[in-house]
Amino acid sequence: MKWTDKDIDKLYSESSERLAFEYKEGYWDEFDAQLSEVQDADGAKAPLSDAAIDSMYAASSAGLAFDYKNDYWNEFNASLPDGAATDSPKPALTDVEIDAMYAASAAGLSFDYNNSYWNEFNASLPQGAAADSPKPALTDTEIDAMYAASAAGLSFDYKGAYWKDFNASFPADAVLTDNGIDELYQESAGDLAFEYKPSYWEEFKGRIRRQRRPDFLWFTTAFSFVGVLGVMAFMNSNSVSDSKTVTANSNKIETQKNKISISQSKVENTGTSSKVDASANSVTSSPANSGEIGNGIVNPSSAILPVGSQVVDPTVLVSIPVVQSPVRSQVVPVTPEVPVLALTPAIPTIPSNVTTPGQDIRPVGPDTNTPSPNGTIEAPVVVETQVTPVTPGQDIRPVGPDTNTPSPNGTQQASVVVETQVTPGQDIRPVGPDANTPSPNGTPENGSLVENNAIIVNPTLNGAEPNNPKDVNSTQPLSADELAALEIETEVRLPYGAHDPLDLSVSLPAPYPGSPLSFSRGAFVLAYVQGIGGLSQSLVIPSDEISNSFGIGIGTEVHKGNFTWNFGVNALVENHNDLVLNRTAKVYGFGSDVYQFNIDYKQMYTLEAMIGVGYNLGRHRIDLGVRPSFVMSSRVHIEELGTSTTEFASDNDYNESRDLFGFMDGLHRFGIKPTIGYMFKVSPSISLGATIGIELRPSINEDFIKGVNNTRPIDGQIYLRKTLSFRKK
Amino acid sequence: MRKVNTYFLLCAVAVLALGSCTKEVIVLPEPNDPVFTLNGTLAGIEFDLVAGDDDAFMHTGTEMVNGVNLFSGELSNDDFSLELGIFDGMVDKPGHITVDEIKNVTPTFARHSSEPLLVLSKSMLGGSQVIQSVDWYINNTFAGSGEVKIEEPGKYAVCAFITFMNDSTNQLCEDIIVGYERSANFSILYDFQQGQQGGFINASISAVDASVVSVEWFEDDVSIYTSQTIGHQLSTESTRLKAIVHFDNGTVREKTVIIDGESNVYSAKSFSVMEMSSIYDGPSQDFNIRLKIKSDGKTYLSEYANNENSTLVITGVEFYGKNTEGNDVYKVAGVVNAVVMEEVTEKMVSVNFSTVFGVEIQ
Repeated sequence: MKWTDKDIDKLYSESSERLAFEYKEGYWDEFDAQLSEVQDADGAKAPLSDAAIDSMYAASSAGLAFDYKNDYWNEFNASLPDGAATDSPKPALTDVEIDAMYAASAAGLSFDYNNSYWNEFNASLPQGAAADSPKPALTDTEIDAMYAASAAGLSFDYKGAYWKDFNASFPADAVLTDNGIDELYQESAGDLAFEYKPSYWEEFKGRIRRQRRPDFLWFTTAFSFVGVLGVMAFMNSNSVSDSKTVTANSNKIETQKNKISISQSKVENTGTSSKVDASANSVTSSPANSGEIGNGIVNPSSAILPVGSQVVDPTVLVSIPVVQSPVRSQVVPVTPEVPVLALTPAIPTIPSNVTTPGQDIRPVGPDTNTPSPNGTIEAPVVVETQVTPVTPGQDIRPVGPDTNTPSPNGTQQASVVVETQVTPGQDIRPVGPDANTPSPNGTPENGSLVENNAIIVNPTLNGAEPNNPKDVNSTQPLSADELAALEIETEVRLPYGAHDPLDLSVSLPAPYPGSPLSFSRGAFVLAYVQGIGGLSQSLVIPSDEISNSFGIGIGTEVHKGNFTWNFGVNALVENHNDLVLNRTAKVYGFGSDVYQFNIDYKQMYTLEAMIGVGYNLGRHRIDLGVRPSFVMSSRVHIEELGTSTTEFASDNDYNESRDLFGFMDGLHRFGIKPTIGYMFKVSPSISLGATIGIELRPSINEDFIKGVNNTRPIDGQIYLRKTLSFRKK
Repeated sequence: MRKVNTYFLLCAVAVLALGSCTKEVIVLPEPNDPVFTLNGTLAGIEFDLVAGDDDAFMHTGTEMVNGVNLFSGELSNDDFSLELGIFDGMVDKPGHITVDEIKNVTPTFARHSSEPLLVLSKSMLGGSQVIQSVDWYINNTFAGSGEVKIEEPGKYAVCAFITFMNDSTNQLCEDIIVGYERSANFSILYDFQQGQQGGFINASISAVDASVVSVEWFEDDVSIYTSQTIGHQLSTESTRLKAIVHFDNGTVREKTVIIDGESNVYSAKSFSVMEMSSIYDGPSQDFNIRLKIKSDGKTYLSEYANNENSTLVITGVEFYGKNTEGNDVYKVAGVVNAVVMEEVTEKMVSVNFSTVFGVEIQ
């Protein structure tokens, strides 16, 4: 490093400030020694000559070198106070100036104080002016004020080490005693206060509930339901054993639409099933039959055929508008050669002059409860009906809404609703393989005798094919609406031991004849739509809010026996008032932006599947199932607060609020609820029910939403269900 | 069957309708860790700043210091601020990429020189015999007449308004680089042959440190040749002959001489001689570091402290983003052990810190 003139000047000025000069006698002696050795008589030394002085100066300055520049003088001159001539004495500095110079110089100084400094200073003072001389004593008030002022701005972080150090600082015999510690603790505890809030308990309960085992209530209800089913099954079996009769559905005919029509068709017994040869459908208008029809008498040959038999007799379908009155059973003897539905002579003939519109037809036969002595199936049919007189060649059509609608081939179809008794061993099957399967000529092959509650007898008039298009030449099963409106009370009595009394599928008539998706032996499928409303406990705790929901659902029911399997989907809108998500994000960058979102979940849009099984008790049903759910979307109200730490922070604060859809953070989409329910059939097509479910999965993400998950929140739903029919009318 | 189809069709439509509802997505910003941090001690007193906390903010910008970019960042709040600047380097290479160079250099602290780096005087231009006076302008600001000292490193735009002894005047303007590495340099050489209509010159350039790629010649700012050597007829007037030289290392320099076309007496040399005669023998200031700290009302500067043994270890340089001016900002992570001088008391104190700093680099 090079030393410049400025550096040297600076160094010199700094050094010279630290210089001090104290005169001592020794200095003179030293100087005197350098004087001339020539002494006068008094011993005084002679003064040095100029030459000697010059030589001495020259000797002492021999090693010095100094390059003088005019700038030095100018700088020095400029540093003098104004008005002070360079060569004139400087005016003396005042005390104020000296103080100011001192303050300026000392402004940046600091030093570490040692006690020795004070001692040294004290020692340097003249006697009598000792620094240790008593000072006027401070009063307690002054000391307190000084202490308070000093301690006002102090704070410190406590660490455990402090206590250890403090404790260690005590002499061995000065450690706090237990009593002393107790007193300190009591003093401190006296300052404590605790304010209880109910929310503490709610939060505590929520945490406890999350940790406990699955709800006892749920398992209790589930097992109880299973137990009820078992008991009911047991009770049913006892009932059959006692009465030798299995009562399946107790239905009543309550409609005016039902009618019994008689048509003729050809039945081809194929050993295990009977088919309707629709191509042979024609109205039998032969005199032999016309007389019977005209008399209102059902031809004995118009009956259900035993399995394997070949039926060649014509059948007359009697269209009988049914009056709103209960149907009662009438025992009809059946022989192998004779159609089962031998209404004569057991069923009194209906004279043609009697079968006037609106006439009540009642059986006058034997007691409907009396079994046939010959063991044949007795099919007691008691029909209160109005019979329209039928004459040979007369076009017989259903009186109901569809009476004017011919089938594609110009024929009419109708059903006969029969309560019947079946001979042990008699095979009762659908006439056609599928009641819904149209025959090759386009006419539906009509249903079975019992299971579809339709009697289709296909006689052939003297082996001749009927060909009168004006006659009733086909059968049309009642539509689903008609059937739905039709309540049938059918009692099938089986001789003791004829069938397994617990085989409900054999004994049960299909509750909805003509269902579009009938399965074998009584299983069939129905579709439905429903409207739903419900209430639910809050999904979070602590909260006193009750959520509500509404929606619609669709589904199918598979009926078999007394059991019904239910598969459906509900679309629900759930309204909540207490799902609030607070999220704060601090995003660092050059500064930081703090985003605070207050998101209030107002609605959730949920798809909910229903999978369940129910047990029917007449018009009542108890359901047990599960409802998996998926939250598809939501409507939230968002309030967004933003704060930005930037150079212009005040310009970057903002506050926005809005509603939007589809925000799913904070929610768990999937849920599942075991349910138990009850349904009441208001009418055959309208049902009213209620279910209770318990959500097993946490619904919210606790990291986002205020509160904690309400473990196992319970919800209840009520629904109004409409059963749909897809049958052509 | 028609009803069945209708039923299932309605079901499908309902599901699709539910699934196809317009969904808005809120992109909630994700919180992140602080980006720019500063933690260390100054004179034994700890300081800790995080941009975004306690009103601290990372300011970035570029300051022009004596014609050279100082890429800087300042992390500060109301109580404390630390400015870390990186001087640009290779100032004679217009196409250099500063970021790449910073990654490859070992940074040192800039040091303020206590003596002038360069003295501008008319004697350097041609001597007092031919030049009557010179007015010096540095960066378009009048700097003085006669001698002008340049005491800090930089790239200065220097103009000399010359009055020759024959009372003719002309001006000579060049960039002078002092205190920074010169990647290449050159001077203009010419032979003057006096003629009736004016002098004829054979001019060439004498280059050092790099090979010449091309030379552009200008007469009074009018382009006349693009070859390394020229023969040119002058008028009888005082003429400025300028050469712009492109070197193979990317350096571009420009020199000018004034030629008395009549007799070559009242001519002036280029500033190259002054630039090359700089008495500054310290390290160049290319990519050097400058620290400026403000704490408790005091200002501490690194340039006036001896930082020969100080260290700045850069552990990472990566692009961060753009600042409000739209300029690129890089995150520079490093550890600093240095000495700074308090501006008033000139007391030297040590400063040690680790940081992730934001520096705007253009």
